[in-house]
Amino acid sequence: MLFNSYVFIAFFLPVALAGFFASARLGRASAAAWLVMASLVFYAWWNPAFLPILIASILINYGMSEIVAKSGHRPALQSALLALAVGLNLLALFYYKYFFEVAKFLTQGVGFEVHADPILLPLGISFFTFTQIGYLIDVKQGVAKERGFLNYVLFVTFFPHLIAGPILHHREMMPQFAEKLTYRFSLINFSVGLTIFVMGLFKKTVLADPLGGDITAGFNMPGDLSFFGAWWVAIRYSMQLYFDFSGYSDMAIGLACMFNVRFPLNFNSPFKSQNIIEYWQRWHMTLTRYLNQYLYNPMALAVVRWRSEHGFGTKRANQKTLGGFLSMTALPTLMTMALIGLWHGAGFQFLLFGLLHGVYLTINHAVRIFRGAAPENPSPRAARLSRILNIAATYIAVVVGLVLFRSRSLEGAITMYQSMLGLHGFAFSIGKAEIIWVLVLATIIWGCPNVQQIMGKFGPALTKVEAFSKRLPLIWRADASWACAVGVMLAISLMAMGGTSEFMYFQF
Amino acid sequence: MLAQDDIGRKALLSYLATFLVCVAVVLGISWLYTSTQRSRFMETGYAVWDAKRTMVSNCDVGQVAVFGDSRADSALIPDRLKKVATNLAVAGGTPIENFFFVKSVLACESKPAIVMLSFNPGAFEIIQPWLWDNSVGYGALGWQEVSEIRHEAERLKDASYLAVTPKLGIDGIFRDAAYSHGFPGIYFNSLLESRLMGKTAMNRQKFDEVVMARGYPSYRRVAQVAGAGATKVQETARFTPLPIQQSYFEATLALLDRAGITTYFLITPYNTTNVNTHNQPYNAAYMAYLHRLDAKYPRFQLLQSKPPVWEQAMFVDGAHLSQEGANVFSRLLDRCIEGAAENANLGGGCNFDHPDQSAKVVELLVAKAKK
Repeated sequence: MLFNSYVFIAFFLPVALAGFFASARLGRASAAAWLVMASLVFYAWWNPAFLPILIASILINYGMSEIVAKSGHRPALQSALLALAVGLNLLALFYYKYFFEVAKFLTQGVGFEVHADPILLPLGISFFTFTQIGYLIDVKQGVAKERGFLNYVLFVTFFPHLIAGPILHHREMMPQFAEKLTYRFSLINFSVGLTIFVMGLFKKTVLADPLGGDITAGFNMPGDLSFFGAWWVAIRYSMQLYFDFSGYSDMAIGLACMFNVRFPLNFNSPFKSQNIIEYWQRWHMTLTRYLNQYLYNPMALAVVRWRSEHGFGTKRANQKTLGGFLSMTALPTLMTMALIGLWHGAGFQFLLFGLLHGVYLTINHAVRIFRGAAPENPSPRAARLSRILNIAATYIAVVVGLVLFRSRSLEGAITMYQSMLGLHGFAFSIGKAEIIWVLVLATIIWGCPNVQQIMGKFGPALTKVEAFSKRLPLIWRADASWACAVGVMLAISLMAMGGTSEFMYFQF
Repeated sequence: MLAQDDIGRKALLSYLATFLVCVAVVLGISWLYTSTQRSRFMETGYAVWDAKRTMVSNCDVGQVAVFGDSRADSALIPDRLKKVATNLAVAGGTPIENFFFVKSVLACESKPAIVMLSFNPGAFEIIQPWLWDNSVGYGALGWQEVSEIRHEAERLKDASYLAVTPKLGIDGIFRDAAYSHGFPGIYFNSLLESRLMGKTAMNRQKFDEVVMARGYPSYRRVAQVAGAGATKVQETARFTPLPIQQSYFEATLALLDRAGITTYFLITPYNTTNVNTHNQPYNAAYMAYLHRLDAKYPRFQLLQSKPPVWEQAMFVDGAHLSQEGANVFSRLLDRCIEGAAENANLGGGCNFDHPDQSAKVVELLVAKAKK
């Protein structure tokens, strides 16, 4: 079921909400059970055949987590059990997400015949698998304290995050599900949640979806695009993805809020970033956090240990040496980013997308480490100019990377890059109305506060964001002007919803 | 739980109430605009429909009324017929909606002497989303009609009807309710594309053109869509009409029969490049189905014994005749009808593929048209 569908807005959400708070009168367990059932219906709506996969994944992971927890007195066995559990998760993920593509590559590329039929990807498998792997690791490390079965199932299946994130951490969710107040209807949470949901819906249906048509055509035939056409398509795609993911993230936070639950922030105006490090701290924030916690940090730590054991320095000064930088910064960064790329899909273009960002990040780190501090007290004008240039450079780097992300194949991406370099001519055929619309979108991206900044006073997400501007204090209030503005947004979104597409991150 | 709870309950209730009122007001205004001002923002296809519907509501259909799908819509130029004719075929038309159009025409005092029905075989086999996007969305069919169709589908246990998902993305009874009551979401893309009212002049011009041409909208050649309009039929496919389409087609024939109107079934030319053309068993089954109906309804006759096959040059795409092709076809049809008037019963005698009657005539007419 899509958040941006009539059936969700008109039937599922009201029934889920009413049932949750009504059943809460019978006790927390019944309310949690209701929400689990509602979430399973939500998941099964698209394709009921995938429901057993989700249920099996939950049962196996919960069972394994309990065994891992109870084997704490035998650390070697515990580690082996954890490895087995994580391995099973990764195997399932590999089978559904990568097996067909790998088999195709082996058969067509290497000549080693492996028979495989295309496998339909269960919705949200990357998200619920990663969530549960994180839980398993934390159970092993003794970090997971709240381990009740019902709360665990609710933590994994809670429908606002089930299909496309954010990737939740049990430490931030399980206590909320154990909290009494979560089960009591709150008018302010409902109002704030509804407002955020509507803003997200508007971004998705009115700002993101109408950009789609030309983008698909452009990426299908990149060789037909001129220099301007190719950049135009790439920029429009970056905006479509931006508003799609931003809209989804807002809707997820808004929905959770209606149920008195707060999610971590997943999207924080990433195109306002002044460098790539900052970009990844603002884009798909929970994936970055997850991979930092469970991949980058352990890897970096292992390198430090290795260097220490082999007599190499591990201090900040050692990071400024070429060997120190390459082993302690570049290697973990590149490996983590390659995996982020592959997390999005099995094609080579995704691997290259990750590696390209790995290179960006490595350069960014190198500049920070080797160049030293920026000049102090620049004039306000110079600071503003530098800020604008940094944002522009970061955005262009992101757009270049997104070509790999969106292209149907590596060949398609290369052809698109050729067009972007002007190898297929410089014809200009962009309509005035299209330019105006993209300028409007650009103003929203770079010139307006984001939803969290507008609603931040009410703490709808677990992560705080800094205020947008003192000169433009656009803060939500429960008054008539805001009610009308949000009402108009919902009315337009309801009209624009017909035939809108699924969220782009659903495919991952 | 939110940290801040400094807004009173009254303020929040007032916020939610104002919010709902604003949603209702914007939807209401949009609803009013989209139901009454469609020609200002709809694509030109709407103007074509509107023109045909206006002719029907004015009971201005002449002696020969043609009903059918887009192939018939593109193939018949009423002016080329000696009798006063009207082309009431519509893009995406199937027997279902045409039953209601025929019903409206028969409600007129002056009824046509001849009715021609023309559907490609695919029109019997599926229910197109266009039934809602066009027929219902354009206002030709209302809640009463779609409810009747739904009940008929339920009676026939034909699940295909309820499963169709048109542009709005919903199915079943909610789809019927939304479309028949003109929910403004149906028109959102058109509103956006026309920037609310940018199609007024274009639609007025198209409306006038179609009324002047007695229902014929000129089809323009479209680049890179050679297969457009052709229902994809695999070589192994069998002709399998849907119960609901059969039911409405027979209901139409029964209606016309009771009204004492001679009814011809007309097969518009197939394109040589179209895969459907070469599936002989499929076409034979289609003809057998029509022959069965020919035998069942005394006033219903097939004009041809087999589908005519014409060269690609006469089409704008894979299925629709160009103006030139329509010109030729309409003249051949005129001869056929005039012959029918003389012989009373053609018995499938108008074979447009027959060398004497078709190829040479086509050749001559093409030459004439080019002059």
